[in-house]
Amino acid sequence: MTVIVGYVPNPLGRVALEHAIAEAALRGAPLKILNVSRPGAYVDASTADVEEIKGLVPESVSYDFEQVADEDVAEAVLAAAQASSASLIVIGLRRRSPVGKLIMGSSAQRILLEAGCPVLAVKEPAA
Amino acid sequence: MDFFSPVIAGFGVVFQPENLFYCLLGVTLGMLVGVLPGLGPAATIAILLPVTYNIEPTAAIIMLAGIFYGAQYGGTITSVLLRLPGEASSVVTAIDGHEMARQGRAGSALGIAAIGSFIGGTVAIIALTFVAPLVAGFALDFGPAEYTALALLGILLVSTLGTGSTTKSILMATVGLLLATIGQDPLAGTSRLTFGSDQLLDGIDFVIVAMGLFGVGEILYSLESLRGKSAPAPSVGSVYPSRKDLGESKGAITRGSLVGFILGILPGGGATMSSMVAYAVEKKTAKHPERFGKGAIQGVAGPETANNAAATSSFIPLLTLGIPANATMAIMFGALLLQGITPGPLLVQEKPDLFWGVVNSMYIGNILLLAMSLPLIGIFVKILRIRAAILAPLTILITMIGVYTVRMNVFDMFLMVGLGIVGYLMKKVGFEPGPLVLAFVLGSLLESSFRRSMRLFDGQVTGFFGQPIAATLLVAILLIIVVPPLSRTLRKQRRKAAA
Amino acid sequence: MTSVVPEEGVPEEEDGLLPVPPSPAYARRQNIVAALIPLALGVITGIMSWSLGVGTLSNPGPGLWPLAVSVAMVVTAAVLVLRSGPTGEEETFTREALIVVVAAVSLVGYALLFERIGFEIPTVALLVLWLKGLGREGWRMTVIISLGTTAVLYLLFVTGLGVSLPHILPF
Repeated sequence: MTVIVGYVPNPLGRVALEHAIAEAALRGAPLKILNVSRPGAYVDASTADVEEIKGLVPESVSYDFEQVADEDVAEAVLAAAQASSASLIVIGLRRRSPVGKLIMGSSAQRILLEAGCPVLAVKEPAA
Repeated sequence: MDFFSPVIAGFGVVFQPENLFYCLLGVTLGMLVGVLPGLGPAATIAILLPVTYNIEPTAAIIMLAGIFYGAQYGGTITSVLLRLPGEASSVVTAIDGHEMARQGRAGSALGIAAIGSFIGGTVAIIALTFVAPLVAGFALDFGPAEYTALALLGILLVSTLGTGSTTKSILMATVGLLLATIGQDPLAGTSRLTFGSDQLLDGIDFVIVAMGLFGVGEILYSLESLRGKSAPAPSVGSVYPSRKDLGESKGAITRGSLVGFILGILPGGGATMSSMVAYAVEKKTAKHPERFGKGAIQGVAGPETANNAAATSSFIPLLTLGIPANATMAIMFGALLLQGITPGPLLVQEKPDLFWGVVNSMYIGNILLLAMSLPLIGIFVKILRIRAAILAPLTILITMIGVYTVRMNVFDMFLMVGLGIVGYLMKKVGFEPGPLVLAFVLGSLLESSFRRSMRLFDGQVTGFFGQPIAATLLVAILLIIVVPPLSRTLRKQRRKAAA
Repeated sequence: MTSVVPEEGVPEEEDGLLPVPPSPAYARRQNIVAALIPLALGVITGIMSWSLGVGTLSNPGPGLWPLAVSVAMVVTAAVLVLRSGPTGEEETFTREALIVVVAAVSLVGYALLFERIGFEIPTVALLVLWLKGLGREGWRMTVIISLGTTAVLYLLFVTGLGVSLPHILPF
């Protein structure tokens, strides 16, 4: 019974986190923030800063934070969801053309298809 | 003004467009490798050795020198932003530098490091201009006995003052000396330790040893951290230090220049040790020593000034005595030999254009370093995102093809890969490649001068003590061997007595 | 050379991602093996040097200097065998070391093929192996970098510097 959110340090990630906080409060379920970062470099844009997350989550909300180094984002999110027997996965979904999706493959798509629990896919509010 | 005319002529050499270009290239490359994961300046210079074949000697050495002191600054960036020192000489900078970054003052730390590096480097060049000809003049009278003692002292100092265990370093030095004997005997022409291989008859080329142990060895080692965790992208802020920062660092920069210059001259001293000593000096002389470790700007300014000053002054023993003071200088020595130039006391007189060209290029290099480092920090931070998995195959290919181009010989590739595996294993079990490479470079000089002095002294080892300079150096060697264990036992006994 | 300054408050790495400090027994065994190899080497080269002819001190033969160095090597290695306690510089050989084995073997293969079939195919193959196999990069990245790098190396060495690398492309 956990709400798990795949967090990335960008606007889309923050929107996903906001929704996850709301969902966790609504369901009275524990919140787990998962950051999948790309290993092998000194610095990586997808790696979250622990301090930054502290600033994003209201102090009244308790949460669990985990950082995983893995190239395969979908795999890492699915594994973490299974491990914490999640009841909801929250992910951010990029707006992309069908052609773009075809070429790039999509972690979000894999999570949607393979997750064993409901998935909430959040989009970035259009500017 | 007899002294200054060659110095001024040297500026003429530097301002040739080709040399300016290689100076810029060297400094830029140096900063990049200082930042990049996995490759140190010694490895980079080693990897680029084959490329320097095709460049004119002065330009080649100007470029390699630029890489060396440029890397001193590049290493600072990762030290401050990520607490990951890119170079050993920036380890102490990480203590206060990273603390400053956590307080949002990363820009000030990087800015003061760049300014300190510039001042330290420039002071050291000016001092070098006056000291180097003196040392060279003094060394003109050196005979085989002096060179035997000097080479031995150099190897020993590098082994004892370097990082890590002294015994391990001395063992590595003996391995280097032994590798240097492979091939034909310099005097009698007998083939030695070649295991019947014709390929080894000419001996092992220094380029292969340096590229194998440093280049391939470090790349193989870096493969282990392909899965290493990445840090979040750091924020830098303004890179221009405030007036207050400058005021607080004035003393540290002055002391750092002095410490760096002096320690850089000593064999084995070099940039790493001088940065550590400079940090200790700052902590001791500070009005508020309790601020060290909590983001004291002096803890960045002192060591960063000192490591650049030392990087510059470590050229003195190389260019005037022909004795490299550390592993990077050993590779520089190899680069000079490749170009058919034997560094030593005669270099200032016989090749003034090269000598003063290289020395004066460092002024320009330091100005370039200062001018480029601050505006380019954003780019360096982006470079940190390059994954080791992409970098490793690119560097290994340049290394493999590079070593082939030296003699168009595949055997050299095998030899280099073999030495690379040895280099990797050495790293895993805590052996430093530095003493090995240094001893390898000095090996033939040491052997031939030892054998010539034995003939001179008619087989009497005591003959060394008849030569005042050689005797002094030998006494220094004895002190290095005897004093540290003695003081250790004394300290132990005192502690026992106190208990 | 990269060294990591330990930082307080940062959780330990789980999967052996960073160099793991070995157990004292492991470190000791590793140290003994690491010292025995140069010890054995020193004995062998010492014997070889002796047979080369040592000569006298006033007229040294070709074997004297290598013998002296071998003796020094054996003595220091012996000291290290005796003082094999952990120094904190040893690193465990984890499964990451397997990557290094594969990499080293691939380099030997590269050198073997280099002169026989030209440098282009082995270069692409090495890049694909290191990027995809060792580095787990994506296919897109792997293809772009492999082909791009090979082209750049060709232009740099063969066309630019005029070095006669064995190559099959007839430019």
